[in-house]
Amino acid sequence: MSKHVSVAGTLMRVDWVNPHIVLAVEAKGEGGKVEQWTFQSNPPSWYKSVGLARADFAKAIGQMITVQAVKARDGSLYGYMDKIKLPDGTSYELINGAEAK
Amino acid sequence: MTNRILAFVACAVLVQAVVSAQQARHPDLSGVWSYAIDRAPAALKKEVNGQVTLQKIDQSARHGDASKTKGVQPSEPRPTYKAQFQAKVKDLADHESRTDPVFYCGRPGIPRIGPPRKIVQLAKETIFLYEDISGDPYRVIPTDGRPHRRYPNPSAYGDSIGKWEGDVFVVDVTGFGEDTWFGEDGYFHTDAMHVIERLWRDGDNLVWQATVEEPNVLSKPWVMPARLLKPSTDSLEESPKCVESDGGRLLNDDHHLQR
Repeated sequence: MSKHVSVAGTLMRVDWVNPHIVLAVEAKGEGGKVEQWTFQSNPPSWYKSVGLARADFAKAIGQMITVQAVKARDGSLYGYMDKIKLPDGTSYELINGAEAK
Repeated sequence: MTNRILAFVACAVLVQAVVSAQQARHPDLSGVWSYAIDRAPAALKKEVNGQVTLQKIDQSARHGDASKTKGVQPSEPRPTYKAQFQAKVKDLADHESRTDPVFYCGRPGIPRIGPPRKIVQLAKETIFLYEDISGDPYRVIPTDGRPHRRYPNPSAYGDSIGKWEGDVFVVDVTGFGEDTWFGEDGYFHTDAMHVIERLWRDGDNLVWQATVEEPNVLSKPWVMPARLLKPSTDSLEESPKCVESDGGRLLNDDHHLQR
């Protein structure tokens, strides 16, 4: 069963790489312990097709963002990003299924 | 002296006219064409100050049905391997998250990479440009009647020569290595693979259809489903480097269900 997580933290890095873009987020976990999260998402060419570039995410580096993701089954702080909310209130969400067709 | 100059100019004009006439005889395939690789089946929902927009992906070049398009040859959805190789293909496909070179940033090769993103059609050669996660390959395809190179180094994109059959541009490709798959489902091959690509115009669109001949492993040539490509206004960009980071996290054979 996939586990969804919502992580609020500071965007540390945006890697515009294939086959999946990568966002590094530093967040506070239980007891205030700092956690280093890594999130993947769709490929750069996919984001290009919907009009987004690295700069659309990288402008938030050093600022608080919220990421919703499906957590990796190996239990690590790793996930596939479904949705991101940027500091200016803009959100981007991947929509699957019939709504996407 | 004046006569020599006039003769030179006349020759130059004649050569240009012949070249133009040759080019005019064939349809022009030049241009940027829609992206035809498989992409995540998702749309992007953007919300700004309560305003919601939905940006969908055009997958028609990959998943559209081009079978009724004029000139398309009857195709089959998958190749037919000889009986002694069917278990190997199934095993590769069943474990493709670990065995597919493309999952690990490998080159897809021909014909798996599909149709070119951009075509530059010149008098004596045609250039295919691609965008791919493994890098951005190009192919310079001679059309001056020369044969294949005698000893091409084995490669993912092979040795190509082109010719026109009526309004169809036919690219003959040999000289493959053995480290690519010609399709996603474990379609391995040997260096005997021979691919014929056919490209033609259908109104504003471009049609691409390939045939794989592989006498060592296939029981018959595989005519692949055609792809119908729309003209695109996208500019080509250098593809970002490929950094695979999922392989070490796999808990089972399903690449996309690790989460």
